Amino acid sequence: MTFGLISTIVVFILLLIIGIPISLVLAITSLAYLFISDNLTLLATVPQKMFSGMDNFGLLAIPLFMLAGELMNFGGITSRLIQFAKVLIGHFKGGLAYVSIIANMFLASILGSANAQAAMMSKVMVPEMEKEGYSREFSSALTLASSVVAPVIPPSMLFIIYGTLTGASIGDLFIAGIIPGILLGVGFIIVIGLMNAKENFPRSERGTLQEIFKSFLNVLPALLIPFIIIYGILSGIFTPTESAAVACIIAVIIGFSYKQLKINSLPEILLNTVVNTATITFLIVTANLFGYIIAYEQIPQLMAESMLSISENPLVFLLLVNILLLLLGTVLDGIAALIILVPVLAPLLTTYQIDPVHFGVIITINLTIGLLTPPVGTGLFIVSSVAKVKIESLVKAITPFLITTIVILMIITYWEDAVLWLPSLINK
Amino acid sequence: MKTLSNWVEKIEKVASILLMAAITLVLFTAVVYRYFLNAPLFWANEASIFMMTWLTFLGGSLGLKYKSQASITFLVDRFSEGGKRILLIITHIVILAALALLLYLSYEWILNLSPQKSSSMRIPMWIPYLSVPVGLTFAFIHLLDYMIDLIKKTPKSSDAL
Amino acid sequence: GGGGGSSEEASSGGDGGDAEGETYEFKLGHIAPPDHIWNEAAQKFAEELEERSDGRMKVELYPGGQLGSDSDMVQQLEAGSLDFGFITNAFLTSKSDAFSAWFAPYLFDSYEAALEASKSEEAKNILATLDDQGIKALDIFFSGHRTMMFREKVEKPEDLEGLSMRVTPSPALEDFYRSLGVSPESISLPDVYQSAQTGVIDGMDMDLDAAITSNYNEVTGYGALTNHMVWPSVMIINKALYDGMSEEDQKIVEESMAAASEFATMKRASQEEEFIKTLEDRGMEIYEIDPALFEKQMNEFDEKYKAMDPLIADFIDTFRK
Ligand code: NA
Ligand code: NA
Repeated sequence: MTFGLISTIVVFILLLIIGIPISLVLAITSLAYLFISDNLTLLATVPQKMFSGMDNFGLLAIPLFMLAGELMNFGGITSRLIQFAKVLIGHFKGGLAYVSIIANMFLASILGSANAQAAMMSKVMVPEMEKEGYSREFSSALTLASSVVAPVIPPSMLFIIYGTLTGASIGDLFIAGIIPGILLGVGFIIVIGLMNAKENFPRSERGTLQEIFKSFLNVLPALLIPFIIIYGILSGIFTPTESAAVACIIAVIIGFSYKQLKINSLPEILLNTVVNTATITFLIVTANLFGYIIAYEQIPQLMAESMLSISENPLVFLLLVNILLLLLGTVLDGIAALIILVPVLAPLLTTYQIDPVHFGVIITINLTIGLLTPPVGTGLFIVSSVAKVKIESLVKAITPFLITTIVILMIITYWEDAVLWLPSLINK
Repeated sequence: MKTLSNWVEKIEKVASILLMAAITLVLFTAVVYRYFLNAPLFWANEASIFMMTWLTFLGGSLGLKYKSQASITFLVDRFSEGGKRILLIITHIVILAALALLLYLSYEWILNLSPQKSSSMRIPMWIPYLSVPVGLTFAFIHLLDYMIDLIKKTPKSSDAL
Repeated sequence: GGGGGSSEEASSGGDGGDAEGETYEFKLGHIAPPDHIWNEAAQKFAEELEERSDGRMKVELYPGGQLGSDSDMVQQLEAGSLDFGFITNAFLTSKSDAFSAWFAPYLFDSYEAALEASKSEEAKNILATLDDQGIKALDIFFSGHRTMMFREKVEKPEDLEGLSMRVTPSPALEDFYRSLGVSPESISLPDVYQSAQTGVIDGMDMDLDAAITSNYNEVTGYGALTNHMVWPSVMIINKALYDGMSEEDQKIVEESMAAASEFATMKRASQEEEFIKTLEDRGMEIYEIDPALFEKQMNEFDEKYKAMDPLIADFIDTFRK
């Protein structure tokens, strides 16, 4: 490691611990690196790279699903949905925690991005769980962890981009994600079960048949939203990103029909959405700048090359890749990391005879884990800002789920069939 | 400075609300036009993206004013009131210096753009690009205002970044 | 130095003044993946440069959009933080209208014809329109003529009426499709697969290579080998860097580009049969549509674009047979 790189890392850590907003830390570190490494010609490119961080249609899902979540909350839609789930399974100890996981897996089959899902669910689920008596830290951590399933269960932005970069079949990737996605859900349910034994999770009253029926009638209009979204995407009426806009419009209509949403509360809802969105998208802007400088200096490639010179065994290779990605995932996550790393790693797959679809699932879960790990984890920032929980407390509360995710990552890394069996079945 | 910052805040709020509503309506209308009227709005995607960039930089500036941007505070929390104030002054000097540099760079950039039109709507690219210098300028105004307050009086303890 | 951020005075050869005194460490960026023909062109260019300069010129490659989009890279080329870029002609139409000339439908019937045209005076004049923007466009190569892929078979231009198709955002392409009664959609590339799968779009304007790597055959069963447009990739250098080079070095760069251009274009031409077979093996029905059926749309395009810019008029007049 060069002197420049080390001093940059020191600057980065220093800025971070003195409490500068992380988005600005990324920008200032990037600028500092350009000075330290005497790369001043790159300065002129900084504004353009900040702009192009947002120049991506897929990112529109963030504000739109955030707005849909806000509208569903204001309009009384969310509370009815959760009420319905609660009368069904809430009387188990820790029932609402299970409801959250199931709801997340359900939502994952609509959304393609963990960030969008974390944004929406933390808005919806955390206040609800808090009301029931769960701690806010636990509720936020559970919501954040379960958002990992979003890009694993189809549809998935990461799979689409990976498929485009490597030529792996996107259809196969989608199908390959189903079992790992379910494994993740089951893993989290087991964690809750174990925690349930130790901690005293709340339970709700058991609902009578009458209550269940009444709550079902009540929730029927609200169920229109996921129904229209799923039907609309599957039948080609709109793309997943557009579905978010459609969800907003339906949420407004249903909110009005429940008589809980008022026209004059719309400006406040919109403004809240923008401020919450911008804390995330502004971070994407500076992360894009940071990612550009890392790419320009070919840092991931250097790391990859030095690690990969260690062994020729594919199993060792996969372990090293996992370690590399988990490490890089602490400072990079999502699409930027994918774009930087896949071109480096993909050519090695032929050498090690690793199936590109299998590898795609591994890399996707890895990069999604990166959303949960400090210091740079967009998922952490989103949930922390939406649910108003300190990053440190969130990191602490999420650790059991993080460990579970890593265990499942290891399982699917070495048990190839968990990923490849379903696609092979369908391709027959 | 205070008045300027509050005035900027008002502009940001109104613009944000309008942009967010417009994005939603444009994309919804695009679906209606394509599926029901069989006449897709070719410009809808690009227009939404450009509005999102404006929303990001204006909203990002608001987020800095409201101190809602994510940060790590475990160390800051351990300081006494006085220590915290000094630390906040230091961090704001660092941030303002960096913002000043970014501002300089983005005005250099926007004023020396070579001609380029957007790919769908064919509008000049300075229209979306302008969001960068404008958002950064507004953020600079908010933080400078906060910095002046800091120097003049002790901040409330909840004001940690 | 030569003006570019990464060129340096010779350190090995003593003073930088002698004829072979400059050593260069160039950076070259493009948006195509590492195993794409574009990157083969980049590698070939790097080899040629190194060989022709006796090792004085080395190139570091940044494929796959690592440094950003076409728009980002052009900005970097202007600012000098990037030395070379391969940029799509479609993007360059947003910097200078004249580049639309290349999208005149059915102007070239083979890769050879397009390559030959790229060496013409008319083509050079179009490249020169970027000279006042801090960059110098030196050469062109061709990868994958455009074809049309459909969810349901389209056999004649009339069948296209009322369809919505994904088209690379560029007015020239859109105008051609609109003249066919198609609604062009600007769905972003990562969304194209799913949009075709679910039927948000009825088809796409695509090349065979991309169809293979992105598995579009899974979602569009019919491929019409229309080859209605060529797909030029423009090879660009930072202008200050170029102007600061000795004449010999400029010549080395230009000759290396020409060699890479010919290599990539001809290699891509030779792959045509293989690509068709791959898609057919995957179950796609590949067929042809008689270009003569599109005569009305050709005339419409020529008329509109010739009026737009005299350079386009010259270009079309020279090559329309
Ligand atoms: Na998903
Ligand atoms: Na991380």
